[in-house]
Amino acid sequence: MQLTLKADGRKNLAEQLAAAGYPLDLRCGGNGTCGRCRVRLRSGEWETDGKPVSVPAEVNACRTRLTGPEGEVEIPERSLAVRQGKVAAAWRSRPLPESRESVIAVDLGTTTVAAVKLCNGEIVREATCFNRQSRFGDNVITRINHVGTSSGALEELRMAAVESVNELLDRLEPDGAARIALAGNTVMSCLFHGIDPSPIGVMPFTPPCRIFPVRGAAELGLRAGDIPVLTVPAIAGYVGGDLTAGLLETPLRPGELLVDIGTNCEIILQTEQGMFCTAAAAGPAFEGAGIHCGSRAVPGAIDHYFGRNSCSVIGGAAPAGLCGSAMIDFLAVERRLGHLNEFGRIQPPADCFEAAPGVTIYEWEIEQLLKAKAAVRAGIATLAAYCRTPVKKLFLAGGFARYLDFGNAVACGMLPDCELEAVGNTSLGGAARLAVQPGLAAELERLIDLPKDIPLNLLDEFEDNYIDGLLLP
Amino acid sequence: MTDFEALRAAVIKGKRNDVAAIVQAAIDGGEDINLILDRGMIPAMREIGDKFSRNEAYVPELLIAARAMQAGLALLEPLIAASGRKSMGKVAIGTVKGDLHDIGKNLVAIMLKGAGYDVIDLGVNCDITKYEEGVKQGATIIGCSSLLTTTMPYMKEVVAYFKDKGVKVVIGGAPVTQAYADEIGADGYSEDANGAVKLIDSLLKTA
Repeated sequence: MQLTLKADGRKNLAEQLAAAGYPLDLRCGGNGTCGRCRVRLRSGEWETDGKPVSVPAEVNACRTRLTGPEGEVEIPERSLAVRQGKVAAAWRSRPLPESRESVIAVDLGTTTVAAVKLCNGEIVREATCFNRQSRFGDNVITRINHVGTSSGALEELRMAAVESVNELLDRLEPDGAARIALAGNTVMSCLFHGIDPSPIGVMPFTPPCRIFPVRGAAELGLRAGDIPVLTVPAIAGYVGGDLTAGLLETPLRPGELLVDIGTNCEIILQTEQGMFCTAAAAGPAFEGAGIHCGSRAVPGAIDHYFGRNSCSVIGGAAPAGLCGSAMIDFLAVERRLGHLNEFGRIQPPADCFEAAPGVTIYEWEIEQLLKAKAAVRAGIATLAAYCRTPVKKLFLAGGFARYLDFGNAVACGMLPDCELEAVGNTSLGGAARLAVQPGLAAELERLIDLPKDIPLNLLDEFEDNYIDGLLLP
Repeated sequence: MTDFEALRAAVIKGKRNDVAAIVQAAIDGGEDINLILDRGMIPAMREIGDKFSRNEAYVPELLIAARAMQAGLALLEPLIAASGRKSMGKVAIGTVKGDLHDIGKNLVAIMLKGAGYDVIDLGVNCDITKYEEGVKQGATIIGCSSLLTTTMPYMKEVVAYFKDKGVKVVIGGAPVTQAYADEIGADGYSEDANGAVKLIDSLLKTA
């Protein structure tokens, strides 16, 4: 959409657009680092980071200011903030017990926070927002780093998490709720409770805390009356309460794995001898970071890619970018068609490939995708080989897996050829179950001691599997 | 006669079984170790590294070539010492304390070996004592790697410790930058594995 703005004192462009009713995606907190609030300047005099910009130009709105009297801006759909959270709030339905109580469940993710209000075992309201901690860094390691920068930083991060949850609570209307249950990765859970997560940042990555106390909402600073807040306990430093919650929702039989593909790919494997878990650093490529044409699942994003100029676009509009699922399609389809060689190089040689009009992917971006999928593949293969357990079935948690074409995920070498099932946001699902049945806390505390944490990088096969995983079969 | 062209091509294409077979046949046939290195392996690794610098090869190709290289080097290494080959210089390399990520570090180690350097691989989670062991074994350059911003600060301690001890400390890894290297006073930085070879080249020439 296009908008004409008038000079408004000291406000930057993102602030002006928010005031005009178009809040942008500011997941890095307006630091100009995530590139999500990009807009096109059509006319007028502008400056970005204090330097004049000549129109037309594409800029980060958070770092740009109107210096002339009037200017025209075009806002792509994908740059707008997310207001709906249907995807993030869905999980494979194992019915919740009916309860007359109204309760709230929260999935505190590193990037996205989702919450639902439940009544009689049904979701009655849902909401999603970005984690306000993102302005301190886009991954858990940079957040841990921030803790060390000043004496007030830990509290700053805690408050950012609390305010993110408050934003959702305001939208859920928590009046009358009996309790809140929250699940998140170990670093998120620690920060939410104001516990210094620093030990998770260095070997042996031991979490300072795995079981979190029941706290009062008011004491934590949550706007929900004085009701108890329960936190799903964590398994290990990089296998957190989000996976514990997933285990609660998805009981595993020998040969079955629960895999959550995100910036960190977390894996739990059940064997005849017991349960094992690990995490592999996949990076944020599938979430669109570092990929010029990457996009979230918003109108205009290609969710399925079938070949050059043949794709399905969310909302049916003109394609504007590629979702993580479409990136996997791209690798598999173009390899099959011979437009990519086994190293992911474009054939016949070219710097970039136009997947759809205006949606261009570069070779160095394909490399990022290969690294991400190699980490997932190597994590699964190395853990299964270490446990001498053939993989029978994968349960895939998280939003990425919901749109994924499994055939293409196997064809591009990311997932093993076995039974695959998407189970949705089981972190939120498990938190919801705990909220309805607070007595499950004891069961969760039993679950976290079952998986044995295996550090992948200490196994020789990991590097070998990773290098194999970089290739396109 | 060894087909050096076939060896070179096998390394570049990352065919590790072919590399191992050609090298083993060369060794069995009594080929000069120096020739295998100087006419086969080293030019191949230099070539793939230069392609990488020109954006004609990417990390997947580099890693796969390095792995093939390693398959050949593993057969040659026990023989190199006995061959009386003159070392171009000795580098000790390791991932810093608190960190266990080593794929990048291993790649740099193989690229350096492939360029003809002696490399002491100190492994992961290296404290200053570990790096000092490398120096005791004759290394004049120490290479520190880190993947986590949480473990990167240890590089500063390593640099400070070896200051004025006649050893140069170079650093690298995903979160590390030239600006950080300057800030902590490191003797060098490279953003990728091929750059690391060039960096060691320049440091040892001026030494």
